[in-house]
Amino acid sequence: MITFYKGEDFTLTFTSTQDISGYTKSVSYFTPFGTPILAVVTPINNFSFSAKFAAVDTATLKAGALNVVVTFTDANSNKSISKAMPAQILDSLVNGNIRTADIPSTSLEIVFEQNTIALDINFVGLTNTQTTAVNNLPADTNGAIATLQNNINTEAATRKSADDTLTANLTTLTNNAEVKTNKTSDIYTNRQSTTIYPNVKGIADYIDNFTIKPWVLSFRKNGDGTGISTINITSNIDTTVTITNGYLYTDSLGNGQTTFINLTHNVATNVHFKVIKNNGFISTNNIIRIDSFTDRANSPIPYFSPANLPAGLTVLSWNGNNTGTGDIANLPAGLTYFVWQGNNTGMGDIANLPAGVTFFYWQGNNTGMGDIANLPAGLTYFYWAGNNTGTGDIANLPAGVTIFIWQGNNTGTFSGTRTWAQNMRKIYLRPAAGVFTSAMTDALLISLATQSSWTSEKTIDLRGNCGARTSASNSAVATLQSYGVTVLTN
Amino acid sequence: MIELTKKYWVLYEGTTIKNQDYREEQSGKCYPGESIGYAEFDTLEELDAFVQANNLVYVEQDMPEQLM
Repeated sequence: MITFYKGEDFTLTFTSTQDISGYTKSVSYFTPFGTPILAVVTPINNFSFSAKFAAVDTATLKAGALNVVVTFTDANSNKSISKAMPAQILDSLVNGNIRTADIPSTSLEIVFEQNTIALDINFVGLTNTQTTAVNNLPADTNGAIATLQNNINTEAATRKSADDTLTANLTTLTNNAEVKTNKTSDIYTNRQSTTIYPNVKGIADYIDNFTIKPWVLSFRKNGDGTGISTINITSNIDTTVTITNGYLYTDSLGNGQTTFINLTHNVATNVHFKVIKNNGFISTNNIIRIDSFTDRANSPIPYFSPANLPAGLTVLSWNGNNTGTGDIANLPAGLTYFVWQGNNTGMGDIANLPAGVTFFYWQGNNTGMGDIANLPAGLTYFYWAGNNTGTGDIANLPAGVTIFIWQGNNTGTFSGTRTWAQNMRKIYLRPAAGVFTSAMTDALLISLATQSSWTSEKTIDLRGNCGARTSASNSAVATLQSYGVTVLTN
Repeated sequence: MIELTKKYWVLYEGTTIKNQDYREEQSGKCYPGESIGYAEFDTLEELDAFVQANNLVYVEQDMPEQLM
């Protein structure tokens, strides 16, 4: 039994195996006690025709049994035969009915004297949607639906207006924030604004960068105290350098003795000084770089340790004959460039270096230790001498290392697998005795020969206590030579 | 494969000496890169004479290159 839904357009096709063009066809339908409604019949060809049931009509039916009456009239005899096709009509889809029980086809036989016409009937052409079904519902006679619709429209308009207001406010706030951020940037560059409205981040950055951070570096008198040392420092603010128990000069020869030296923000400045007592010290503020220290005969020797460096220091290049000591774990957190030479007796695990260090150069008499796998991830330059007892597999160096120079009492190894950085420059290894085997030397050379990009020094030096290379690395050495790399081995 | 095995050797590019320790007696073997000049000697005197004759100089390196 074919099932229909109220308020739908639908079409039935009637198909016979014999020519039925000689008959006039009509199709009507009705529910019990209802008035029959004529479907619109349209011939398809000599064997079939269609009957369309209009949604506006099906909406008026009552749910239940539906009689579809097919009438054939012989054009010659004007004799008609009708036959009812039982069907069922259900309430429309508007209340959530799901079209799952449709039976899309049925059949019907019309006996016309000796001629029996067999018809296959198919349900096709459902064109309406649920919306159509809604639109075809009976009129809203009491206005309840219209009232509800008006209420919905009013509420939607109110909410849209509120959304528009919020969007406008957000745009205004964003624009204001941008303006204030720009003003904050002006502080950094011009350092002269007093009437400003920096945003919260700007305030935090400003406080962090420009709050006065005093720094005092103590020295002891050396020899007769006549020599002049020089330190090159940079502050991120305009400030001064003063000295206690000593003298400042405008050059390293002792000219221009003065009581203070001006530092212009972000300008590296040489400060020349000498001390006349063992408790001499220089005082200044907000130092972000120490680019060099030069001592001379009878010149002051600083008491230096990582723990008393300026908190905001990013660059440390501490050379000369410094006798500093201390743990590198106490280096300023923002340090990116670390050079500690001289006669230092520093110590500590390289795993505790500040995370942003990219340049690591540690000489002197340091007793540092630790696994090179724990070096800062962004490291590109590695130079570690002194009395270090470092460990680890060279294969585990940070990926970007292009200079690797490792001396001291290290017990480094090489496991044989590594992807080397582009623009490799130098490998120099001097391990403790009996650690780095011939097999490791061969493996390291073979691995390095996989990188064809070399620049500057272009040197691999695996002498000292490195195991002698064997014929296993002949091809690798030849390849490296072809890249312009000089190889030195035992 | 080019291989230097004598006591003294000097590596250079143009007139710039590349190996800082060129006046020290060397250990091991040196396989110079194809693009570099080289010479090896049994005695320091021979090396010094070569360096002088070819105006080779070693330029002292300052601090390591400072990355900004």
